[in-house]
Amino acid sequence: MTATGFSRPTALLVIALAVLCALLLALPGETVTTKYVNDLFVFLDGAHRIDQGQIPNRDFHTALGPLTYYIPALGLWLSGTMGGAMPVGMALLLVALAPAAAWILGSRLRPAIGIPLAVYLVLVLAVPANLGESIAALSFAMFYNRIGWTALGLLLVLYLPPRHAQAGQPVLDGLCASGLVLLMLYTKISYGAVGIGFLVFLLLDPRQRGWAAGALAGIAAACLAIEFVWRGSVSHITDIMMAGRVSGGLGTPDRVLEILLRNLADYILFAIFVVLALARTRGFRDFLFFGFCAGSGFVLIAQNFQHWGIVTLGAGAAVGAEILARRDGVPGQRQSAFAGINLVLLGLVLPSIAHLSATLLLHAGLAASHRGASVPLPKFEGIRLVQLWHGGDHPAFSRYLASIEDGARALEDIQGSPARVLVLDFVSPFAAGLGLRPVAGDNTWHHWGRTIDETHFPPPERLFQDATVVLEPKFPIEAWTANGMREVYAETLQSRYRLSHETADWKVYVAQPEPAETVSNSDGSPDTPPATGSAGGG
Amino acid sequence: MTLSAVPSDMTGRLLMAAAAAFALALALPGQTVTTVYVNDLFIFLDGAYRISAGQVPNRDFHTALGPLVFYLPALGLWLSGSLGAAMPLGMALLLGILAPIVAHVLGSRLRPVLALPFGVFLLLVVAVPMNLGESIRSLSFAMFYNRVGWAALALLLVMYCPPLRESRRQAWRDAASAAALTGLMLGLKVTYGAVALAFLAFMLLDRRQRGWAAGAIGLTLAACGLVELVWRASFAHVADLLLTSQVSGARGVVDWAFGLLRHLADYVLFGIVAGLALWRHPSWRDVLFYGFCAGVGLVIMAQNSQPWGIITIHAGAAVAAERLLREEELRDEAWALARGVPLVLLALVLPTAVHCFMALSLHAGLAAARSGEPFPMPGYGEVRLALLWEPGDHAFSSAYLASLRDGAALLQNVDRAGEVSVLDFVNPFSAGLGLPPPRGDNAWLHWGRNVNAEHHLSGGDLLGGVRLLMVPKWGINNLPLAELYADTIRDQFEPHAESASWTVHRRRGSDDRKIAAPRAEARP
Repeated sequence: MTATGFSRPTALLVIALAVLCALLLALPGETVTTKYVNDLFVFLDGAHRIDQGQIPNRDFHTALGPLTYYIPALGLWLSGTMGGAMPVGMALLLVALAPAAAWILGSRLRPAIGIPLAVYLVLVLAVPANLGESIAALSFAMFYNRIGWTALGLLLVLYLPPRHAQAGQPVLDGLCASGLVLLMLYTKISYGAVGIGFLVFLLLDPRQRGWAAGALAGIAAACLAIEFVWRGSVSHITDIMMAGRVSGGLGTPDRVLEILLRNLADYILFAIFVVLALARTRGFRDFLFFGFCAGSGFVLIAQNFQHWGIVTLGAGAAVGAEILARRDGVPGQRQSAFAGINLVLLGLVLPSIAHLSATLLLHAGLAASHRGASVPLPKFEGIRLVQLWHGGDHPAFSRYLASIEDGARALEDIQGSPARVLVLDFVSPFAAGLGLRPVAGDNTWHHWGRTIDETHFPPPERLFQDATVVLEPKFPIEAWTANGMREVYAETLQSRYRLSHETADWKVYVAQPEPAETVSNSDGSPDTPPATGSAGGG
Repeated sequence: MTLSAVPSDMTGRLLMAAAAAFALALALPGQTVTTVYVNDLFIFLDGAYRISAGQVPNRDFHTALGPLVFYLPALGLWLSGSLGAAMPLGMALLLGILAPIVAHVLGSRLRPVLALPFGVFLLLVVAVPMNLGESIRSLSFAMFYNRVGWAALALLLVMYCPPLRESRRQAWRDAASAAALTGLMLGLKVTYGAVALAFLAFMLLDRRQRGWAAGAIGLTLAACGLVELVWRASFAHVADLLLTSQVSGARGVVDWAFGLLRHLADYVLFGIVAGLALWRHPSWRDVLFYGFCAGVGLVIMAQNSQPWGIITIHAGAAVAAERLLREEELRDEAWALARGVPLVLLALVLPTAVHCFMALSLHAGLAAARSGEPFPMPGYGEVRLALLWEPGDHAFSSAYLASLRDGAALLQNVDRAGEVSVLDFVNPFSAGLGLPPPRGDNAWLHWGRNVNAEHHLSGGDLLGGVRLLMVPKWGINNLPLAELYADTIRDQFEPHAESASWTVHRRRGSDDRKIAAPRAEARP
């Protein structure tokens, strides 16, 4: 701790750890997965689309934020391989976030509190696994949730006034806050909304009101500037609203209770901090802050495909510990009987730290030793499915890869110009895996009950506008999605495509020569948004 | 609450009061509510009924579970006269027996700030009608012996801590408590009992505590001898245990690795407290003790059918916290971090305590409200299957009960039903319809757990005392059993009646002749 109150050890550790994690991800240059292979393909397909000049929400539809595709695209550009897209993309993000994390944690928390929280948040971002799953469940699936959790966790620490304000403090605070909120907004909008809500809440604090207002203004200006270049915001919001109609909301009371019970242990530990901190400060604003941590974390996890891991509780607990520690530091006041609260913070984050670092090391080890079987498409050589033990999810995904191999062969049999392939399933791996031109106007990710259902689905004239080949799976990775899509698009498929041939795993349809507008009479659904801005492929 | 080490009677009284409250929550409604593992519940109800009909475990029927698993619900049945009260009242009585031991062991060894949360936690682990690690909606008395075993073992392990004050009376009480806990574990599930005896042997290494440990071993051995004089089935019990261990005894590195990963959070918290304690007060014996808590718990856990809950970790952490705080008192300069240690123990036990308390309250509420569908058959009037907010395997349980209803109706049309057995997981009909229980059969048959194609009782042993054999067309694990005993059924039984879900086979020529009942111990 320096005289200025900025904790240099914390800041240095954050940066060193972020670089170390980035190296562990990026150096092997391969992606190892044991689960959710189809989710991974969503991001790889997106990276390929960007690489081919497409722009999210203008050339294809997605409820995920554009950064979900630009991060792997950046990884793809830098590494030159699909296997490097995700790990290198995440490594870059780690390095990019490290200075903001170092500034926030270093200026707000003493090292005993800041360092455990820093390690926890950096590992949450770095680990290639869905939070709350086993060490063996390696996957970049839903990496956007982890980005959101880490960014929000850092943002929440800004609730504390700096330990000793320094020159330039408000400017740097405002820059960090607006950067974090923008990252969340353009990765997954639910996190961004919570971030903005938090900055509005900070306006209540006279000491921090200035930079919070500045950050809000900066965010608004940045959004306008981005829209000036991107011109996809309206389309993005339409896509989000459609996904929201399919799977928005907190869910049934069963689910609410289920989430609470699954995270009960964390809520109870968090409550220890809240009770002790409020007993000391009796501050209403503190009470609101802890409520914000507990409530927003709950709403976010209810929206996620995630059973456990409300990261806002860890961040809120660290703030509680710092509040207690600052009270203890006041000269003349009796030392609190709870000076050892730091141990409880360790108890809250250390199990996760152990779990996350073991997972990260497992990924690095498997990637470096080239374990597992490559995805059987030429560009996906560096994507490996590993079987860690017998059983588990491996048989299902292994079967999926076999069907992809079969699909690639089926595509080879088509004569004429290179195909633009649409797959009636969760995702299409063929464009990215075979280096084909991606379809324009379609969605990157179809998930029955999550992004589409029988009343909300992309209108066929939009989804099929550009596809020359449609693949219908016989062994889909997501059977509900494949069955549902087959049903809602049956008419289009029949009128505009003809069955070219069948293989063991696929039915291959090719476009009939007629112009589309004479045959497409399906009107989709009244709820379906118009294909805003996507016609013509930008 | 202060951190002071003064042992206070208040701690003991508070723990006794908590035990009484939990016991009342179980016993007062006089009802059993279950949402999962309906078939497991029947093991204990059938067992209680067998005892009340004069049978003796391992003499009149086979079981690898200890005799107390059956005597405890039998006591509940005997006192209340209702099968619905058998389990909750039996568990309430057990809480009454354990409460003074909890009060003595924790009150004499841990300061109140540790003893109270840890004691309440252990009492809730015993009281909650739920398999540890499952959701609060999974209400069930299934595998209650595991929970009792964990709590008893955890209490015993806390005795590693020397008492805060030593006296002659203390040593006697320690010996009696340790012997009672060890005996309880031996009588419920032998794995816990074996670990308890190993721990007592380990305590002989401690010069200060050698006395009560030796006394406890002596008392336990004497009690075992006395029990055997009356019971005369110890060897039959060991034979049943060996048979079961051949089917499902072995656990491998993979089971332990997965168990370790599932309990990573607990191990890390334990590691924090134990690490601090060892740092301030290095001791090889302590290292051995913490290793014993961590390792033995994992081995027991791998044997249990339980997703989470190595309670020896919590015991180890309580001991480590107490040792650390005692060490700090001896030093001039207190270490601020050590003050957080009670909070870490709280962090370790509070989530589970709250979880168990919620499940216990839910059971009490549902039982008091007479919620759910009563089980079929007259004997099970106060036993109910409840449907909670999430169906879980309710459809399965409901279909299982419907098949039992069908089977009971079929049996009531058969004259002079006599000894009935079921060729499936468990036999619910004897207790439900008040029929004489068969002798020589097994309390339950769980394929891959206590029976498989290689290791099983002979058809003559299993079915020798059965007059009517109910063979389900649909059940828990009826198919492999029907295949295994097909020859015996064909040779010794003839089809007698049939319904949608069942076929009743009657012993050939059993119209008038009384069946010669083999005894369980007759098995070679």
